[in-house]
Amino acid sequence: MLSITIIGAAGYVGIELVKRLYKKKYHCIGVTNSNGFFLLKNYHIQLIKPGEYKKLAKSDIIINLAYPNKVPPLQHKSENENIFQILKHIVSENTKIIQISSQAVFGYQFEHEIVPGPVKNRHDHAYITSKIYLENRITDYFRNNEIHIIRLGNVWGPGAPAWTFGLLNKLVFGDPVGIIAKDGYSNTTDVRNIASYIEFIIENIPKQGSFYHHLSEFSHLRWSFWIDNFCKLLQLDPVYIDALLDQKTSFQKEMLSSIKGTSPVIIARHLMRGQYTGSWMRSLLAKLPYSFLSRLEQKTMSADYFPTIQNFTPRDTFMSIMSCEKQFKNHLIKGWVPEITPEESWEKIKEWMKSVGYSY
Amino acid sequence: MSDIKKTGIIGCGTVVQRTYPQVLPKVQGMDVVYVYDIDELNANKAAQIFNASVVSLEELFAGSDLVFIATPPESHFELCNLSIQAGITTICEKPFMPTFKQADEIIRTAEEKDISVYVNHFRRCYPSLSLVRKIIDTQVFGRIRELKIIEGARFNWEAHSEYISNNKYGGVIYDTGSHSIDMALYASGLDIYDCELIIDSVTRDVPEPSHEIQAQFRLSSDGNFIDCQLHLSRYQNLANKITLVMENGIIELPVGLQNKAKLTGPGGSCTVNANREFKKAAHCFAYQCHQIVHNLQTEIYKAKRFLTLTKLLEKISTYV
Repeated sequence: MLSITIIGAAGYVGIELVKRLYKKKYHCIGVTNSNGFFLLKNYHIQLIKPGEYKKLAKSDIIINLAYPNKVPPLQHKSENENIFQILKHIVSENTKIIQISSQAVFGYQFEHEIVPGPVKNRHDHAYITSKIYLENRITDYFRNNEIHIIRLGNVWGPGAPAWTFGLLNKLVFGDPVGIIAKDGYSNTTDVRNIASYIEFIIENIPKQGSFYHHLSEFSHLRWSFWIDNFCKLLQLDPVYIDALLDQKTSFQKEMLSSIKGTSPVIIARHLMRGQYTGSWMRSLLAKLPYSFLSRLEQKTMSADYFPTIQNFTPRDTFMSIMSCEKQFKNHLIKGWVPEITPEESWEKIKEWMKSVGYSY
Repeated sequence: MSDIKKTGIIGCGTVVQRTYPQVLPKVQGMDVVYVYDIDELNANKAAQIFNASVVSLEELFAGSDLVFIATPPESHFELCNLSIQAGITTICEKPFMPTFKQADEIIRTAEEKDISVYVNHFRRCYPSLSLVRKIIDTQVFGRIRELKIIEGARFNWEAHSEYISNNKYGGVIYDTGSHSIDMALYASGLDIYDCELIIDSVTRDVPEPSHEIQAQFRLSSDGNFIDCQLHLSRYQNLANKITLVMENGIIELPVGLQNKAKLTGPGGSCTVNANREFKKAAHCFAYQCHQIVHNLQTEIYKAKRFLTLTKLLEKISTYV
C-alpha cells in the first residue's frame, strides 16, 4: 500500500484531499498542528504534529500544502526551513514530491511573465517570496526525485476562506468588490478539482525530474460571473469603486514614497494644520506677496483629486486581483479532466450558502 | 497614590500566553506585576513574558489593585469570590460563570462589598455594535421580532491541552458562542435584563463539548417573546453575522471587526459605517482594559450585564 504524507492536512485543500484519499488504497498520514487533530478526527488517519516529524517514516508520496501563514513575515524563512526539515526526513530516493504553490509567484497582478518553469528567488511581498523560496529549495535539494510543483489559481469552492467566503462577506456588507470597468479574470480553481488533479498526479506513471503545473480551470471566467451569481441569489448590489491602482512599483518608487513625508511641502502642510504652528506659519507666509503665494499653492497642490476610499490604497492586493487583466491559464498533464464545471461548482456553493445561514 | 494599577493574573494558560502579551503591556496605567498558576511551568512562562513575579494566590491578592481571572470557567466562582473578599477590582475571562446561580451570587456579593467585577467581552467595543445599538434606540425600526446568530470558522487555535475535547466548557457554545451571543444581546439591548428563556431545540455534532451546534430558543424581557436561532461551528466558515429582524426592517452586522451594519427595509438596503474603527481585535481588548483601569464608561462590561448570556449558555449546553 502506498504511503502518502500530507503536510498541512487540516487546511481547506488538505481536508478535501484527506476526504478523497483516505478511503482509497493509500496509507495516509497527516502532518498538522494540534487544531488539525480535532478537524480530522473523523477520518481516522495517522496524525503527527510538525514538531514530532522524526516519528515519521519515509513516504512514497509527499504532498506539501503548508506554508508560513501564522507567523510574522520576519519568521517566514525559518518557518519554511521547518517545513523543509520535515521533507528532508521523510523523502527517500523514490519519493514523489508534490509541492503546492501559487500563481502569486508571478506577482499579484502577474507583473512577471507566467512560465511553467522555475522562478528565480526575488524580493517581493512576504507571501510571494516565501512561496518561491520553498519551490526552489525543494527542486534544488531533491534533484533526483520526481517533483511536481503545482501552482494554484485562486482557491475556490464552498466556504473557501480567502475567496468564496471573503468575497461573499464583502458583498453582503457593501464593501467594494472591484474597480469600475475593470472586471478581472477570476483565475479560480475549485477545491474538488484541485484534489482530483493531485490524485491524478499520484496515479501517474513515475518519472524523474521537476514538473511545473498551473491549475486554474476556471481562469477564463471573469469575477463578474461569480459576483453576478451571488448578487442575483441574495438580491444584492455589488459595490464598485472608481479608483486608480498603481500598476507598477519599484524599489526606487517605494523609497521615494516613504521619504515623501519629509519633503518641505509635506512638512509645511503639516505645520499649517497645527493650532500654534499654523498660526506662526500664517504669520510668516502673510509677509510674502500674494502672487507668489498663489503660484506656490498651484505648484504644490496635491494631484490626488480622486476621493479617498475607506480601507483602500492604490496598492490594494484584493483590488489588484479583482481587476487582473491577465489570465492564469492551465498548464497540466494530458488526460486530466476537471471533475466539476463552473456551474456545478456554483451549485455546491449555493448548497453551502444555504447550510451556513445565507438566506435566499 | 500611584496612578498605575498593579495587576495580577490568575491562570496563565494559552489565552494569557498568546493574547495578553499583545495587549496588557500597552495599556496605560496598568502594570502586570504578579502571576499565579497551579502549573508552575505556565506561571514561569507568564512571569517571563510580563517581567512579573510568580507568587502565591494570597500574595497576589494582597499586592494587586486589579486582578485578571483567566482560569477555566469552573474555577471562576471561587476565584472571583476570593478577589471580591480581598476588595480588588476583578476582570473575569469569558465565559463569566458556568451557571446562572453562580453568576447571580457573585454579582450580589460584589454589590454588597461595593467591588467592581467585569467580564472580558471586548467585542462590546466593536464600533458596529454601538452603531446598531444606537440605531435600535432611535426606535425607527420598531421592536425586535427575531434574532439570528451565526458564527463559524475552521478552528485554528493552538490549544496546549485537551480542553476543547474533554472539558464540558470547552465546546463551541462557550468559546465562540459566548462572543457572538453576547454581541446579539448587547446590540438588541436585551443584556440589561434578566430575560426569560425557553429553549425549543438544540442539535449538536457530539455531546458537549460539541463543535457544531444549532439551537432555536425564545427570549423575553417583557412578556413578548423574540424568536432566536443560533448556529455555531468550528468546522467551517458560516455566514458570520447577526441578524435582527425588526418590526420595520432588518439590521445585520458582521461578527468580525468591521465597523458597519446593513439596514434593509421595504425599499432596499444600504450599509452604514461607524465613524471610528479599530485595526485589530487586540486593540479592542486593550481599549476595554484602558476604560476599566481609568473607570471610563465601564457599565457595559459589568458582570450584571452578562446574566442573560450566562443563563443562555448554561441552558443550551445542558439541553438534551
